[in-house]
Amino acid sequence: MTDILIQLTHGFVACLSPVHLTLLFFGIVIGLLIGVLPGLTLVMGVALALPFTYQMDVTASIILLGAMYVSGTYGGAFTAILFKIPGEPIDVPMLWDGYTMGRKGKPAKALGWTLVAALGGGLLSAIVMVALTEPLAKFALSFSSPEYFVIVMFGLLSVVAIGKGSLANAFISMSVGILISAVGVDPIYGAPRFTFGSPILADGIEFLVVMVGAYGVGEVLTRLETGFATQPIEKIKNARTELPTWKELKEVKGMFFRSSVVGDLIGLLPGAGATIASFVSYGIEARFGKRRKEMGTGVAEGVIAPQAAATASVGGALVHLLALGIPGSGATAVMLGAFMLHGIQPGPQVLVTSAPMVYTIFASIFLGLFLMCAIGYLAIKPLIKILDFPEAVVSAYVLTLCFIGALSIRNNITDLWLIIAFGVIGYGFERLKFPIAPLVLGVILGPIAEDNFMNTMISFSNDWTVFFTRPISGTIVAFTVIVLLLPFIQKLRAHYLATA
Amino acid sequence: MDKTLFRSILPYIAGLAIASGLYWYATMIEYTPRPGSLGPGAWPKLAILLLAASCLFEIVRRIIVGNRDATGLIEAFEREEEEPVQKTPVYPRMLIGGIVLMAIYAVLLPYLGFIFGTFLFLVAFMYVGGFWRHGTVWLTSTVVTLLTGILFLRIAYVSLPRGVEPFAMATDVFFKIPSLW
Repeated sequence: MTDILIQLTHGFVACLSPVHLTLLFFGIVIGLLIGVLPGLTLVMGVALALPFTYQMDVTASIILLGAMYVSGTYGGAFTAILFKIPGEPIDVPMLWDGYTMGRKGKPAKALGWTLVAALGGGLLSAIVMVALTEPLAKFALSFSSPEYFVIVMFGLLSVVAIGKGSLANAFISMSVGILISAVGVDPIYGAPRFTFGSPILADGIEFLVVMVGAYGVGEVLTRLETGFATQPIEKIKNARTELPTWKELKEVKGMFFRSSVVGDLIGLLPGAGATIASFVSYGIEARFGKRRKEMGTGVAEGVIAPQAAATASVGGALVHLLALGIPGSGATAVMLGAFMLHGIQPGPQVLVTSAPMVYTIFASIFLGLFLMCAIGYLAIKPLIKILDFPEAVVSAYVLTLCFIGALSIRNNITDLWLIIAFGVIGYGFERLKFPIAPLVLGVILGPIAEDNFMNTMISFSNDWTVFFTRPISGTIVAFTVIVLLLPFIQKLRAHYLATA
Repeated sequence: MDKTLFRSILPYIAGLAIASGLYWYATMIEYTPRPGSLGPGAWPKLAILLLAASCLFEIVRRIIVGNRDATGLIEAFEREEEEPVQKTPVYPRMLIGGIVLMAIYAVLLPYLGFIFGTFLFLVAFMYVGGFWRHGTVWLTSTVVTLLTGILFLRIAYVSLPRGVEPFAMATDVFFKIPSLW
């Protein structure tokens, strides 16, 4: 424990360097702006920022992306409370009580509750993140290729299982992602796969191209099809934040803690993320909370529950990204990409080889939370000014960033074509209700899964039962099956109870 | 077969056909076999089989369920749909215009260079997107191009297409700006 605290102190010192502080500040501001803008999602924003990090060292790039991730869970609350526009899907539950509280003449109070919830939930999750990462990483050091393979598959299949819509579509999306990642020269045999004779495809398809194309270009095309139809926004003259009193805080401390723990636990589940945390936490308060009957009428609990859980999920998601190398959400998948761009594979070894970097990232999350609240408190008026920009202008700029992202990989026009192609594919997926998250995760995790699968097959003479017979991998396989089957069992049970 | 039903299973039929093609392609991968090794096609084949099985499952499920409500086990595979979104009018011409514009951008970029090409793209995209305030269009395009050029060419040092003469001059101007480092 003392060792962790010493390392964390070193992390704070490193984080206070001018470069890191500047990046933290910009990350927070950009994350808040992304949260405020309804057309830009958190994952898309983090993905768009990835090309900017090429020239940075890995610590600086993760500080920037981490700051965006944390503050992106908070910025959308402004527009949800003031204008009934959820900047992010995370903020939908904020409409039910946050906006209602605003309509009752207390928007400043609602914003104050949001700020406290984001800070409290975020800090708790940051503490959990620091406490859990090292023990989990130490435990993971005993893993071999079969364990890694099943963990990666657990991460992939959790994303498939937890999402909404058709399960088959999610599987199709994941398979396509894995297939895209298989394009290029095979790492074990050196044989070209699915290159169709093209030299550029022999290098493989960069995950950045798929990610930025599907999320960035695809989203712009989806919105272009609707003619950038956004509802007109009423002008708010006096947007400000009013912090709750100690007495008010004491009254909600129990549910505050509960919501933060729920967010953290959900963040720890691969594939879940801030949106699910926000909805589940609100649902728990609406069902079991002290003032459950008043939920939806503009009560503080309805604002605290989703916000605290959403921000708290960040720490949980970062735990298994750093300790196991498995991203728990879309945004952490992009962060995994940033690590890989700099030749670092997160996982148990990262705390052995790059502990100062990991603790600097931890420290940046703590500092980022305070900075986020300070900026959110002081700069709410200029932040929501961004809503005055026409969507066509913002989208044109987003596309420019996507194109720069493509060109910055290897200054090759083929990547630009690929990003446009994946944009169209992303739009098609959205239109046909195929989820994009499994596609992107498939592209990122596919090579890791393949490496571990092939190594297992070579080491264990093609005996595939090894995944089930080894204690740790067998347990993870059982968990995976439970995660996949649970929604069906619940639905079947509900069906038979209803018909009985 | 019902027209609506056929339309709904069409993407999965296409998926199945693509999976079959790719599986055949995966069997043709050339490599030097080693005894007891699975070969470079093994992993992609697993992904293709998963793709084909998912497509096949969805086709069968939709054919069985048809337009009726699903029951029993089949119902369990229909998860809750996302919140129904308000129907907004769609503009396919705008969408096609946007895609065509991006394609033109990709074709012309090596000739026009990043600065000039992006400026024209920004202007054109805003018009295609139905934003017709001329002053704002030209002004924001100019500002965004200048800022992007400074940020990426002089600060982040990203290598971007220079273009051919005389358009390359637009990029060269940025290299005359003193760099931060």
